[in-house]
Amino acid sequence: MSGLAIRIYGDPVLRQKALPIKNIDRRVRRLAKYMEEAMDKANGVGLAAPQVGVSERIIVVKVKSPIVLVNPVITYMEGEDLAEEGCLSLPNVVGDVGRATRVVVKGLDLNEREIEVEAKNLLARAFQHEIDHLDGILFIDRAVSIRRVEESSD
Amino acid sequence: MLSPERLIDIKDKLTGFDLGVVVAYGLIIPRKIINLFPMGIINLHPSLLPKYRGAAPIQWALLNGEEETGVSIIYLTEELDAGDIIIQEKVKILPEDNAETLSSRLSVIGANVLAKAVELIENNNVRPVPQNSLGIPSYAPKIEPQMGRIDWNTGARDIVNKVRALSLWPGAYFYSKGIKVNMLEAEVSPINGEAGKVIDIGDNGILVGSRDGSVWIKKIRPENRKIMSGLDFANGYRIKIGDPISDG
Repeated sequence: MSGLAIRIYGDPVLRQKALPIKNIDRRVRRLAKYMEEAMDKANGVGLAAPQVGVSERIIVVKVKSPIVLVNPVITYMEGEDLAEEGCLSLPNVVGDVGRATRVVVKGLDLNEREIEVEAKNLLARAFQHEIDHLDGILFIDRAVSIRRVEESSD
Repeated sequence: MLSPERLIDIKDKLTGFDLGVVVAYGLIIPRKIINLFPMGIINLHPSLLPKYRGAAPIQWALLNGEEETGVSIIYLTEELDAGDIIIQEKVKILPEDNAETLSSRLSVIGANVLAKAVELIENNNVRPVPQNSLGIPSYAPKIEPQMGRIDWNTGARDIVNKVRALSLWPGAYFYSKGIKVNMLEAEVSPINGEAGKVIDIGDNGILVGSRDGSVWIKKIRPENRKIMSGLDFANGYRIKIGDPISDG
């Protein structure tokens, strides 16, 4: 099975506002599975559907165990922390981004059940980064400085 | 102050002075004229001679991405910009400088340094320094109009330096949908993207890929139109992410 290609900065889909998902059907479940595989393959901690060319509101994040959220919304944020961030769609650059240290995120799981996730630190950062993608926002828009990192060989 | 086409025509007007001062005169001054001034003729040149001898020292310093330049007061000789140095002052080039801002700063500093040089000469305190004792000369030839054409297959840093260097004339430009577009303000981004392709559009302007890094087009002027931001240009001229920025 061929994996989904990650869209790179310069692809218009990354700047589009993604549409809500109405039905969590087989297509959506399959998309979530492919996204998870693409994220794992690229050693990412999160991926949003626009990053694989699908302008719809679904994200996967994985700090310890994988979480899939459909139509996610941040309902609570607190704290602030400036730390280095990167993005699979922007290879070779990183930047320092200020993010809330604790967030509560609501959304639907793949069984269409409403779930609420409380996240701290890296997981909270990952949620904020991925949900931004759904609104066409990239970390470079929020970064106080961006810089190049050496090309990796993977 | 005189700016004649042929100096020999005004030879008679040049007698009875002690010292001559030449600023921004593009022609070689013959020995016959120099010899009319008992204390010689001095010349202000906006570079750290022996670097950037020639017609366009400010432009070439910016084109080459120099972070420092300066002004030199030299004795005029028949060889262009090659005379001994009377006094020299370094001037920082700021990242946001272009030919316009740098020229105006250099002319203010140059006027002061020129006054100092006259004072040194008056008090017989000059210790002329031969240029060859300071290094190998480099040259800053006249800018040609076609040098302003942007080649997106060069590096982002070079493109932005071209925008800065040619801001007074002829401007750095590209053609978009048949219109000549002059770039007035640009900024380097470390992000790589396909050369000549629009990577992003936002408040910062239009981001275009180059051979190394990319360039934010922040302010432009389409030929015969008013100055506008990169974002307004993108909206008004229907430029989209993924488009090539220039024709052909």
